[in-house]
This record gives sequence, C-alpha cells and structure tokens, in this order.
Amino acid sequence: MSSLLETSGLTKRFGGLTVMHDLDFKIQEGEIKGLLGPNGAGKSTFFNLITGVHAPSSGHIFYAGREITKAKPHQVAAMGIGRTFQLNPLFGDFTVFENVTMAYHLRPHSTVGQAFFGTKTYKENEKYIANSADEILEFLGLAHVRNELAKNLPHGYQKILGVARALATKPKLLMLDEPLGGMNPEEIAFSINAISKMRDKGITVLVVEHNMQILDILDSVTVISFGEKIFEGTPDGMRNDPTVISTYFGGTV
Amino acid sequence: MKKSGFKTSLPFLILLVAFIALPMFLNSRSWIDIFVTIVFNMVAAVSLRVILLSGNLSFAQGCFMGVGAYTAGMLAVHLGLPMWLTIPLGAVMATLIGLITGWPFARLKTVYFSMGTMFMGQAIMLLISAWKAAGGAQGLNRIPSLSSELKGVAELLGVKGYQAAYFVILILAIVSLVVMFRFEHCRIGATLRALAQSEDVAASIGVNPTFYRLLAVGVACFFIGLMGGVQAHYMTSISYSSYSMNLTLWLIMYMMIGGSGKFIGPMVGAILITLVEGVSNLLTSLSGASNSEAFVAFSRWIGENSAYTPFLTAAVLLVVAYLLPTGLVGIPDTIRAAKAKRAEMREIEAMMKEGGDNA
Repeated sequence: MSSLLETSGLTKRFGGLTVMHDLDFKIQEGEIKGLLGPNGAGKSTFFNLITGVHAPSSGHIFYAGREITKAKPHQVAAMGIGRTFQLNPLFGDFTVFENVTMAYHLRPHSTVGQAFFGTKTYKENEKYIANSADEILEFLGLAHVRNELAKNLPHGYQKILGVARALATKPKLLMLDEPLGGMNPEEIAFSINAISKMRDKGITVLVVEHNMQILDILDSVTVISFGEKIFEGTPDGMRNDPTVISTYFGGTV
Repeated sequence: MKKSGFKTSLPFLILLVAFIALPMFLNSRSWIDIFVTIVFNMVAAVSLRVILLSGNLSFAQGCFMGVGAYTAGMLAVHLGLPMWLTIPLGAVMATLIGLITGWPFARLKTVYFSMGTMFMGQAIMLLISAWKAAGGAQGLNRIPSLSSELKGVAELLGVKGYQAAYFVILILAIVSLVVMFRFEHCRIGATLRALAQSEDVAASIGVNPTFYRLLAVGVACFFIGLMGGVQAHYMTSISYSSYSMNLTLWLIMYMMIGGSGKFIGPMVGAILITLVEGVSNLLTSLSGASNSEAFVAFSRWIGENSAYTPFLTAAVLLVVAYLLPTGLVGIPDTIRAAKAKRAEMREIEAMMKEGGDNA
C-alpha cells in the first residue's frame, strides 16, 4: 500500500495563535483512518488546510504524489477528495435528491455549452446522475425522504445527506468531519456500518471524530492535541497509550 | 417538481400574443414608445435576476444598459458602422466591461457585492458623462434611427417604421428571454442556486465559484447591453442620466414587485409598472387633442401627480415586501400554501375533538 495523502511540517497560525504545529500525517490507500483529539485540537483546521479552505502558514500537502498545498477547494474536489462539514451546511432549499444530483458536478461533467443546448451527452449524463443518486440514497437509507427539502430533515439525516453528497463526487479520499456528531445511537450504529462499507467500495476514508465508538472500524489512528501529534498507530495501541490516556481521557489511569 | 409544460408556458404564451397583437391596434407613436419601453425594462429586469440566482444583487446592472447604448451609439455616430454591427458590439462591450469589473467583485458576497457594484456603476456612468466623444452632459445625439432604417421593410409590410422597429426589438427580446430562460432551467441555473445557498458546499463538490458568478454576470450584461444598443438606435439620442442608479433601482423594483422567485416575476413587474407610468404620460399628451372636459381634467390631474409615481411604487413595494415576499407572481402559491395549512389545522382540530370525545 502506498500513501494517498501525506502532509509534512504542516503548520497553521491564525495571528499569534498556532493551531497546527509541524504535523506529519499519512493516509494509506484503502484504509479508514481516524484523526482524533479533544475539542480545539485542530482537527477541523486540518480538514480546511487539506481541502484548500485555508492556506497553510508553512509545510506541504501531497495527494497521490502531487503537491496540492496551494490548490483551491474546487480544485481539490476535482482531484478526488470529497468532504463533509462539521456544522453541515446544505443546499437547504433543494430536495434531498437535488442535493445529491447537484454533487455530480465533476463526474460526469457536462460543459456549460452541453448543458445549455441540452446535447445528447448532457441528457445521458443527467440520466446517469439521476439513477446513481438514487443508488446512493438507497445505500445511505435516505430513499424515503428523497423529495423532502433538505432544511426540513432531522439533524441526523442532514448529517447523512452530507455524506451522500460527498460520495456523489466519486471521491478516492472521503474526509468526514465529525460524521457522528449530534446523532442518536441508532443513527450512529447505521453510520458506522455505512462508513465501513465504503472501504469495501475502494474508498479511502479519513474520519475526524471524538466519539470513541468509531474506533471499532478504524485501521489506524492519529491523535492530535493542541495542534501537535501525540500518537500514531492502531486503535488498540491508542487505547493503551499512556500519553493519549493522560491528555485525551484526562489522566484517569 | 416538474409541472406540465402547458401550465408553465401558458402565461408566456399570453404575454407573447399580447405583445404581438396589441401594438397592431394601439399603433400610435406614443403607444409604441410605451411598448418598446416595456420590452426593454422586461429584459433588463430579467437579466438582473440572472445575477441574483447566484445570490448577489447587482446595483450596476442599469449602467450596463448604458454601456451597450453608448457603445452602439458612438460606433454609429463616430465610425459610421451599420446597426447590425453596432448593436451586437454594444452587447459585447457590456459583457466585457461586466466581466472585467465583475471579476474583483465576484469574491464579494451579498450586501458587499451590492455596495461594490453600486459605486462601480456610478463610476462608469460618471466617466461617460465626462467623456467628450460621448457627448458629455448633452448626451449623444443624432444616432441613426432604427425606424428610418426599417422604412423600406415597413412599407412592404404595410406598417409604420416605428412599428417595424418595435417588432425587431420584440424579436431580439424574445431571443434574449429564451436564452436566459434556458440558462436558468438547465444544470447551470441549479449550480448558481447551489452557489447562492452555500458557497463552501458548492466548492467542496467541485464548483468553481468565481467562474459561475462571472458566467451569470456575463450573460446578464450581454442581454442588457443588447437592449441598450437597440435603445440607442430607437431613441436616436441618449443621455447618461437615463442609465444612472435610478434605472437600476427601478429594475430592482420591477423584480421585487413582480417576484424574484420565478422567471416571469420581473417580467410581470416591469410590464405593470411601466404601463402605469407610460399611460399616465400618454394621457397628458392626449389631453391637448381631446374635447371632453372630464377627460382633460382627469389627464391633467394624472399629469400633475405623475411625479408621485416613485412614491406610489415604493409604497407598493413595501406592501409587497411585508405581505407577499414572493411578489405578485407568488400569489397563487401563497394562497395554495395558506389553504393547505388551514386544511391541516382543521384536521388537527378534528383529531383533538375526537380525542376529547373519547375521553
């Protein structure tokens, strides 16, 4: 296995505050990787650095062998990195179905001209998109709310819709920002199952989470605290690591 | 979500018939002037809405009509270019200037975009007003007339020159509207709406926000510039003051009163308000030739009070904003929603009553 995403010396400062310090990070192709850490550890910042929302203060980001340190969000998406957001913004005035079909912006891509003139390619693309979107909704258990406006969905469904949207971009690397946040136990069990199925589809997954239930399906874990890496290894190793226990679990052992 | 084709196209068909048939009967120069103004305002207001699809309200849109008009007018006056060249070049120039000035503004959002474009529009028109070749404060005069150009064709068809000009303008307007309609109702329009709802999410699925924002600006400026170009040749003299911020504010009024949620909204707004204004002017001009005392008195009253039109329109706008946020064309939907809600309430009441009876 080769590494799909790699960062070296990644640093981000907001004014005088260093939220990410010299982070070296790697994701192997085909694994489910966890990025864990307490609140304010810099997990969401890491997401925003990778996806081009923020530019790093120093350091480099490589994806599939190419440097993407300075890429913009839509370029990162074009390279095959799909993401969800922690606060989970949606296209609220679109239906669930439209939210997902919208996400097929790149693959398959219709040019502006093709879309305007409604060419054969465009019509075929749209047909494919409609079918494929329904498959994703089925896979993530959203088929029964297909025609609801996204803003009217309960919170847990909105979170899953965020995942559906990211999946529709056909990512090689799927980055999930707290996918279990605010979910009830049933939805958590469902989501964990769905995430582990994504690995079977050949998608590499990076999960930022502080719900420990996610550990069961992770292949490897990186733990950060105050923007610095404090652990790298397997979930079992993490559970027994003294540094992690003292910083993350509050030094109870 | 997809309505039957006939139901959606019926209002458009009615408008089309009205715009073809009415000017055949009401064919005095004054009436045709009113129809032409309606057509210009209609396309201009729709073009404003194209930019609004991406979530931004442009306050410079009226000035691009001026750019189109002045480009066409100056090319014709100074270089003697023919109309079939000057009018499209007016549209192209409006697009170019729209894209160049829109590029830095494309990263601004909502109220900041509006503020930026507001000052930029004013700046462009100020430049034109200070430009000697553009006629300066006197405006640009002696632009070749579209009506005279079409005299030959008009005679052949048995209509007047200005009537023929109206139909040429109508055809250009229909083409513009059809293009903008299709633009909105394919994937491009959906992408713009997505951008308006969340730029972060749109970028995360690979939408290039700058590209799509500029695409909307480019399309909108092209068609308003096209209308400006024709307007220069229809009116034969233009003044920078008619493309000031006032024009943009009127366009925004048309859109808000008609309803910005639907394509036909700004069209309805433009037609109604321009008609009210145009007819009051027409009455004033007609009253001289009339020998009915009541009519003369009425038109004098209208004429004396026509200065209040903006206030009246503003009052209407306020009422619309409070009571009908979806505008005039949103009324059927509002009624339907209210009915559905009442039915639901009745159902709940019935259920509660039943529950009470059982207890």
